[in-house]
Amino acid sequence: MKVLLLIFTLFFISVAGLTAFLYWSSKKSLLPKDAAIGCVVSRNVETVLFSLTLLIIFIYLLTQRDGGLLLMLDELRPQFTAVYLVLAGIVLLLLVGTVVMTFLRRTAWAVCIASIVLYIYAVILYGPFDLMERIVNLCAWS
Amino acid sequence: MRIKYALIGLFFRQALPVTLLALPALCLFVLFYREILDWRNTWISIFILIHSALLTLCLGQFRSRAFSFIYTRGFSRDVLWIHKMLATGLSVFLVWIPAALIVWLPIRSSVQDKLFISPYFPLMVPREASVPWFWLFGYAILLPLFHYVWIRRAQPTRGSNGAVLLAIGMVIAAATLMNFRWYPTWFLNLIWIVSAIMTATALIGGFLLHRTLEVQK
Repeated sequence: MKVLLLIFTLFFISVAGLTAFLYWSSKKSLLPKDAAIGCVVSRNVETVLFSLTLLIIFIYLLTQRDGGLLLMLDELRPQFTAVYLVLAGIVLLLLVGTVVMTFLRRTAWAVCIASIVLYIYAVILYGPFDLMERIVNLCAWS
Repeated sequence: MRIKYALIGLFFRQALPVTLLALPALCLFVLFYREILDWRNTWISIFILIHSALLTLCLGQFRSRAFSFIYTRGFSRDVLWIHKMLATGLSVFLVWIPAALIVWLPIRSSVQDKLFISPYFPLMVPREASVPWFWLFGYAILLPLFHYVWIRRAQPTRGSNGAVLLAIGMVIAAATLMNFRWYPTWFLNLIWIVSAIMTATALIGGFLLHRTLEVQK
């Protein structure tokens, strides 16, 4: 519960900060609308920074704390393991997609989408209502 | 390239108000904080974050008259960037060294022991000795990133919002990681390596982009 509270607190702080920043930056922008979006250096730097941040957070979510079960898959039920790996694969694909977006110079969108994906994934793994267990039961039933 | 001390002094003077505020704030906190200091102390983390942000705000006001003045005096962009980084380092060390000395020389321990009659001191002095290095690690992560952000915003290209959002995301990621204390050794080593790559990337990227920033006044 404490983890969930932290996640939502950080989420609201980030949303508030984002809104304030976008308001501030829109008032001060002096660039023409047809200016180029970034350059090769900025694209490469932001891609490296973004992908490394995602890598650390993703590994953290997969291996640490109560919901991070990647290192103990042999102790889990086969159905649970399958759902866990499929879910991790989907999240990984989405995150790789956001890295590609960053490489295509859409860093702002990539950060927003990756944040939402990671928040949802964290809530499924660590949040209340045993969402992971419910998904496993749903898959077994279907 | 020769070091131009007057230029470092000029940049250092721009950040002086922040340094003068940060120095007593950190020293007094370290001296009178009654709990045991550890690397994930929330207040010091917030202090380092605000201090780094304010330092880069002072040195990266690319729409100010002082900025346009110094950038049109004939210095190359590389010289200006290197001197700005040196001034940043000097400002950080002026705050960090006294606070670290308060921890390392047993000044903090004496105050806690004699003034507050804390049962933890002087027993906890060896445990606290490594903490100032983590503060330096925090500065090493944040300052290159924040410098990169203002340099990116000063480019004559769009999309700088992404760099700001990326910085916010990285700070939130670091805060999330810091909230939990026990990690296996391999994960800590991974964090060290990734942090070093990130710092180097932000520094090199900032250096290269600084050559093409636009003076906007």
